[in-house]
Amino acid sequence: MIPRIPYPALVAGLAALAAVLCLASVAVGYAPFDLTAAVDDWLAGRATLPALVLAELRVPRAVLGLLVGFSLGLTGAAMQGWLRNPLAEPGIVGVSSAAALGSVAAFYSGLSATIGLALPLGGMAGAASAALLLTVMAARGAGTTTLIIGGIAVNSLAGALTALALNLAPNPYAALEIMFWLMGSLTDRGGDQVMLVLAPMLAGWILILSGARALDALTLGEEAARSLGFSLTGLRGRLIAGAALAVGSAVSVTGAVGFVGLVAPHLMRPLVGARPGRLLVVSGLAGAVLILAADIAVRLLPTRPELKLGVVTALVGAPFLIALTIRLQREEP
Amino acid sequence: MRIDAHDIAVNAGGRPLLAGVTLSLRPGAFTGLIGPNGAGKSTLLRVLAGLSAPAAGTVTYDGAPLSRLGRRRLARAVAYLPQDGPVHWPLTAEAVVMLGRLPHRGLMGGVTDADRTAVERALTITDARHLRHRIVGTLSGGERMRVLLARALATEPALLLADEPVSALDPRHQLAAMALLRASARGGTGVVAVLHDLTLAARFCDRLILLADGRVRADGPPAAVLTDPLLAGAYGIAVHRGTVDGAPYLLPWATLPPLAEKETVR
Repeated sequence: MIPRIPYPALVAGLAALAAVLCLASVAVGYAPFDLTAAVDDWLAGRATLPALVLAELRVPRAVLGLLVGFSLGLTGAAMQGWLRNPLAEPGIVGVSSAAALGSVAAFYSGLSATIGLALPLGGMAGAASAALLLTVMAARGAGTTTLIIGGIAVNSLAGALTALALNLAPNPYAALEIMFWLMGSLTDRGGDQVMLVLAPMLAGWILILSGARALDALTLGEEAARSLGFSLTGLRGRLIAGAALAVGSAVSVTGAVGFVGLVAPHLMRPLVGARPGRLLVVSGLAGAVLILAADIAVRLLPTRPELKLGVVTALVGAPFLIALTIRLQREEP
Repeated sequence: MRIDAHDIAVNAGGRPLLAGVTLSLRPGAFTGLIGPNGAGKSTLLRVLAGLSAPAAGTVTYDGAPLSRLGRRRLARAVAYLPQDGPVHWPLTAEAVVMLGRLPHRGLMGGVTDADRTAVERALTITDARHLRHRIVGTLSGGERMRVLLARALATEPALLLADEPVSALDPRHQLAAMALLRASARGGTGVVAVLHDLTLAARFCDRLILLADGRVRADGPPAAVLTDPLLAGAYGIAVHRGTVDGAPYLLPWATLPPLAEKETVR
């Protein structure tokens, strides 16, 4: 048995760990950088180079890592609770890949070159259209299996259209740029991008967290959950909208950072007695810790060019998924 | 809480599952819902629980339809125990029983003393207190059944609707579970249970409702419902009867040819 940590202590501990990693992320970088001098200059309002690096690069990068990680971990936990499937992931309903497609479309059309915020806006539009499609299917009374198959279909379509954009890219450099972006990274994101995604992410978090009790009830199956007074159509709507807002905006600024939504809920589930409602916040915090740690790691590793964040999470996450699948098969022959 | 169903009809794929079902349920009684496979027992239970809307007819709760009462208030008054109900995550028995308190809890806010008291009482009634820290997936069929029943009782409902609560249990646990359901009916919670074992239905229930082909064939005390002609008409069987210390038992003994079944109905 795993020793039970009280829930408030667990939340506080993870939050503290995320905060420490945030500070570490601010302190870590390639250029020699005097953090205390930068903070002093920044607080005093002096526009020195260290202050600019701090305010325009280091802090936004750390804050985005926190926001994106929380969004992915939270949505992963919600999806697993909703579909009652430990292999579920934000990507499964097609939101992630549609968001990626939306951003690629902004790249490809050249809009991102002229309008700075075209990339995130394209990502959100992609996520929203995938979510809209899923909502239409949900409104027609589609069951969980239909929604998963719909998600696979959306994933395939988005993948095909992304490949089309790469295929038709005017020159190899444009294709390379798209490829690099798709790998997922927090490098060189700015404060304006933080501001853009903050509101939709918070709205998405609130929508998802409001479903905590219904997710608990769903442990007993859909019939029992309804008999306990919960509307499953309402829950479905909130989760789809919440996932689109949170994951859509996350993908649109960082590109595809996979597996965090799968791994974070898994690591945390035993610590909350497997309760789906309690898993939400804890898994979000764990997602933030994972992303921040991975983003610090890519800067500390001596590899040049720098490893992309999405490559690191996939290299760690994919074997995790394989191991998990084998373990589940063994448990349920 | 009183449930009144009037002239209920349910169709599936153009085939009637229920037709013209009218009945009333009140707390304080243990009612058995019996009938052959496909008679519509589970369908009727789901309609009574407000989980599926009938194609025709009305269901009211203390005179109010579900649309006026609201699902949340219904959830506090009527608990529903599905057949072979799943528990999807490795929760402890205590956490599962606490789920029965969800209708009483707000969107936020923690567990109250009333919640804890209700959970303790439910675990005590079902003799499941020693199981509280066990993971539900590791329990035996009988233990699991008791924990799920405790979950439903923890809601402290006026009525408990249970779909085949004893079918998967061994004889000893069947007897214990039936005694438990009768005890909670005596304690004020009305119980309606879908049953297959006619002897258990005859011994423990106050009232039996016999369904066949989507219609109520008989509704009343066990002795008035478990008659030879009614059983022949509904199940197409002949039974062997007896009594032990004044309590009746009946064993399904022979199948009747379909023709004889029709004649009996006439």
